[in-house]
Amino acid sequence: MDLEEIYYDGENYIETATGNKVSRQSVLCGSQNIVLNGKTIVQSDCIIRGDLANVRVGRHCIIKSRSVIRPPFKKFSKGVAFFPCVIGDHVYIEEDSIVNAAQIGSYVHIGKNCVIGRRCVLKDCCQIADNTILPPETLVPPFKLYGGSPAVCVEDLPECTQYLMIDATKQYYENFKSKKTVIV
Amino acid sequence: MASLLQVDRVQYVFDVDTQDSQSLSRLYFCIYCLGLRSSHNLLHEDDSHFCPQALDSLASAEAVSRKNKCSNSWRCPACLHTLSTRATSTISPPTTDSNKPTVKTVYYQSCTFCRWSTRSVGIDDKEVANDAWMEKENPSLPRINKLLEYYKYLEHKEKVEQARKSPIKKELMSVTMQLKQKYTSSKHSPGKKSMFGDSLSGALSSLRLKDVSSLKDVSIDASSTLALDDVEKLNTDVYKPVQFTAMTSTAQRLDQPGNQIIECSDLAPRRSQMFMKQSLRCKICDHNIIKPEYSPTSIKFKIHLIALNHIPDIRISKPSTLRAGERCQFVLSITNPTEHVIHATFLPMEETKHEINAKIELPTCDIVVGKFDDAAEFVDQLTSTNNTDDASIIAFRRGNKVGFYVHCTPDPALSPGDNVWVGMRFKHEHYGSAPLALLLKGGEVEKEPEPNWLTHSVFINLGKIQSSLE
Amino acid sequence: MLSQRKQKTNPNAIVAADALVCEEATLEGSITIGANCVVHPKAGIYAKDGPIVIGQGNIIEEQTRIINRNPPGVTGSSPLIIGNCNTFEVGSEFEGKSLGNNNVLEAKARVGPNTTLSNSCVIGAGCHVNTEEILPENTIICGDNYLRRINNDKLPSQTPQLDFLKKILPNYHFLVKPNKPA
Repeated sequence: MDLEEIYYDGENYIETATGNKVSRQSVLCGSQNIVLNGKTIVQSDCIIRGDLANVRVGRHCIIKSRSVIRPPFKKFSKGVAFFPCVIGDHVYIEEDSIVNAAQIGSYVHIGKNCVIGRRCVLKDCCQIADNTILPPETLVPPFKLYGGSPAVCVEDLPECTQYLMIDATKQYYENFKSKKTVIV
Repeated sequence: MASLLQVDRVQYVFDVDTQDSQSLSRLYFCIYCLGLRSSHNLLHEDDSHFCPQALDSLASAEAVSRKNKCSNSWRCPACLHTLSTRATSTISPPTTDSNKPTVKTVYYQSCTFCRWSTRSVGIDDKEVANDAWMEKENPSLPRINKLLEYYKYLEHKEKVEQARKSPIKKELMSVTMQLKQKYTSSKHSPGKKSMFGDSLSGALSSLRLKDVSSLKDVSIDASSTLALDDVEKLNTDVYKPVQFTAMTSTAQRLDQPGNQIIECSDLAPRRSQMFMKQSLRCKICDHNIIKPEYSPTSIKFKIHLIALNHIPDIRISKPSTLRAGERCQFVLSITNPTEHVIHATFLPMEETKHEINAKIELPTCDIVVGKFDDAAEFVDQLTSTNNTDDASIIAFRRGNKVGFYVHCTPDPALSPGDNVWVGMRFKHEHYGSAPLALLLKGGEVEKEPEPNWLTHSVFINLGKIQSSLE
Repeated sequence: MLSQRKQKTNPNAIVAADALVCEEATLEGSITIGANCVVHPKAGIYAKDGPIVIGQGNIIEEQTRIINRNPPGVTGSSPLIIGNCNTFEVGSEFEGKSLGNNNVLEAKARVGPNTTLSNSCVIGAGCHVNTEEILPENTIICGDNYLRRINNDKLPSQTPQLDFLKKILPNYHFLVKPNKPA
């Protein structure tokens, strides 16, 4: 099914030169350390913790309401360090999810209300089902759907996952329109 | 992804006889026999096995010999999640050789989820990180091995006897042996190779039996039952209140059926299971349909004949409210993934086993769908509107995607909440890979290639019937 | 980048001298925050029906909700007392009776008004606990099936993380000024 159009209040979003659309109700801490590579949507009440470490988000990503992106920390024999959090292109993160991953590949779909533990690595073309708890340091291989708590592989994804994710994220961006620009 | 676009709502029939259908995203297209294939009617072949945590891959034969278990990745016996190796440094007391205490790095396994660790059950820390832990041995292992040996012996015996009964086979064997060497070494007919290989390897294995004519006799003892005179006294501990946190759960016991561990203090780490990369092969023409790259992290394919790249994708573009017995208008979209302009013709559904509970009125004329263009993304899409379109049929046109109107009337007998299914067939031309093959051989393509016409049956779930109050 | 400075801070909130409370956190009602605590932005502490007293060295991450609220039909203003060195991870919720020391509420864990945590307990990510009990020391609850374990190992100390946060957070956030009377 094609995605439907979503209209947002133009005053509530900031659109950057590269086409990022960031809600004014989101909290981007340490914004100098956050890179959104273009055409990425950050919706209301999201929190991105650039103050802890660098956060890099690729192109055509969608971070829906109330999700948190938080660089993970690791303990060493001498103190702790926060690791950068790198997210690829065409990544779709649904509402209320907490992402503590070190690395998320491209074409990844994270469901609603998930917890992605510290220093997890999500490879390209994988999916996390709704309400999943992915324990810290878990690695998710490509073309796998993980679900449950602790998350296990539930199903294989189709070989065309990459195309579907590109299609879905592009459509979402194209259909995410400001109320003001609608031509009546 | 699949769930984002609800691709399951449009189902393509891939087996004409059984009318089995699946979403296009799960289907494959064999460009040699020009047919849709699903994973159910393709041959699955193991390419490689890999560990999901360490991502090291193994050849299939080696993985089988290791019982599909990873060598350096372990599983928590308490919550069944993967364990992480932790390193700590300890100071060992001065030895006789040196007076200074030495600092050593030691390793232990710990679960990031339930915080179980090898230390918590008293397993000593190891000085090397890999291959240092042991899996608990199944107490019935000797018996299992004995049985396996016995079954292998039976299998051999049966084969030897069969070979003896047909003496002609023996003579043929030397001929087939030569044939096999001749054909399996050549790379000219990759499609035919394994067919020869299969029939030959069977013959070859029976050939080997000649050497094993002196089979060792293996016998096993039947498991015995015996009557006991003195029954063990009931342990009085059973009357004590159960400490739930000290006893294993059903899930933990079933995870190690061989050992049936009762107390948590006896838990030991287990090797984690490996995942597999598969390639798929058409059962009819024996060509590869899917062949992934060897690397476990790669999302690339050497051969990638998914249906989405060859067959036009039909989707619901704009849903509408469905009421029993009321005619309503929908927008469906058709996307052309090929590099040729196609003409789609819609036909009514013939008799089918699939449940259909609504009438559909399809466009009566052909719909021309533009070709897929990589650069289309950067061109202003609004300028590409075709003015010759009939506005009563075509809803929109964007590059290789066309939206068109259909009307549907759900059966009056349906009640709110019922799913509405419609069926239709559509015909489109398909330009095969023949010109490409010609080009590769050095020939010149002068004419526009002749297309094949393909017809697909499609079932669409338009949505649920709304209650009349809404 | 997008937040606006709040005009007024809560006069009933008492913040110890070396606690670090981001201004973007919500403090509602009578709250005492002990020394060496870190309260991240967008955390919420709501003392609705009684005061909340938070000990030393606690980490309270974003989207956490700590609530002192009377169950239906109960009146009074009993305080909610939280011990030392507890960690409230992102999106956790604590509405319990009291909390000892060194406990960890993992991301999206929820403790309801009927449960009391002793010391060194871990409520796993996404677990909702509201049983009428006092969790014994070192209890770990985790997973879909609420697997319970008694942990024999010591939980790792949060001090290195606290030190790190206290170094970097002041560079990026406005902080609530400590106002604990000497």
